[in-house]
Amino acid sequence: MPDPVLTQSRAEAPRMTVGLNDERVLVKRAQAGGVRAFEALYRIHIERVYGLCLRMTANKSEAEDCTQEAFIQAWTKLGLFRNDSAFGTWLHRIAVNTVLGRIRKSKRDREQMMVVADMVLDPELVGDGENLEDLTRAIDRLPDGARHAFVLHAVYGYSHTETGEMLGIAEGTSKAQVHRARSLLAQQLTQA
Amino acid sequence: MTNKRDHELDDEIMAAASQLSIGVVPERDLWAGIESAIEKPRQARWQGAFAQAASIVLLIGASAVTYMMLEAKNMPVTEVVGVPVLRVAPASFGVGNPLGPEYEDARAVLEVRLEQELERLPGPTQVDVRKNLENIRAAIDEINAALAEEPESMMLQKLLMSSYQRELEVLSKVDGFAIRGMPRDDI
Repeated sequence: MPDPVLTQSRAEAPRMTVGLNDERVLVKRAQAGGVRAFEALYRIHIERVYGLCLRMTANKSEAEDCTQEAFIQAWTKLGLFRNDSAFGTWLHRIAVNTVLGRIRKSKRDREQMMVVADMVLDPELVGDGENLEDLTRAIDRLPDGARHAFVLHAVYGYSHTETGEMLGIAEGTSKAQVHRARSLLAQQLTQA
Repeated sequence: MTNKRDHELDDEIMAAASQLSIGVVPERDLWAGIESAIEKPRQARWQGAFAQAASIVLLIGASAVTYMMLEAKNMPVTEVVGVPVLRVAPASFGVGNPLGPEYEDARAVLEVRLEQELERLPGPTQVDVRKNLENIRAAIDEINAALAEEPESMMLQKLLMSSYQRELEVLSKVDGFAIRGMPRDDI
């Protein structure tokens, strides 16, 4: 019987091919200090974590930094991870927190904020199909709160409860942010 | 009608969003930076442990050396074979002008203590001290002989005084007495 957690989000779906037991073994080894095991976990999850960071920050350089920081934090917090949730979900939470932390920091630093704000994600960079390029660009123009909720819920498939938990907002706020995002996207796409 | 179109557009957006790729391969390998960051604290921990171990070894080593030195003080006197016996001539300022009795007494006391202290020192050190004193005393003899011929020579007088001073310094160093500043009002 598949782990119900794994079926809740698109982000977790490809992880099934790795094998839940294999991943648990890797997590245990990494928790015991196995750097190579942690590297294996990195190889399994890097694309999704980086993709998430890239969608949320809309900045390649920021996304790289966030990804590295997220994995470093995951390593230091690995002892706290219990198998009551999927490792990928736990990792995504760390990545989202990292992104939010960096954005908060950037907002305190006007120069960095401008760099992030001026950046528009290249659809080719994230590998979206030609027919999705407009949507990709439109998502990147969304305000932070709406973009984060939309990316987690609509792109990565997290429920509003999970999205709210990850972003540190109420489930209702997540719904409101996604609704706002859809309205703004509709406006942008119909104007284009 | 508008609401229906809006709903349809919403559904289209959500459907399209679910088709967006969720995995993106970074342009560069990020693992190297992660690995170096997670290895650093480990190295720092190891270095800290090594520093602690090193300080313990140093402490034990220093204690052992101190103990051995203290033990050496209480060791029985060792006979050193082949060490020349010091020749002690009466101190004089030029031939026929012996120095005052106070200076001679102090010098005699130091000589006795020198022999006692020398016997506690390691053989090679004993040889070095005795050689130094022999050289100084040979120089004093030569200067005294020269002074007998030139009693007014200020240079020889100064040289003689500094030689006696040097002899006292060596004696006091061995004995551990701080008598470098001993007044020489008898010459």
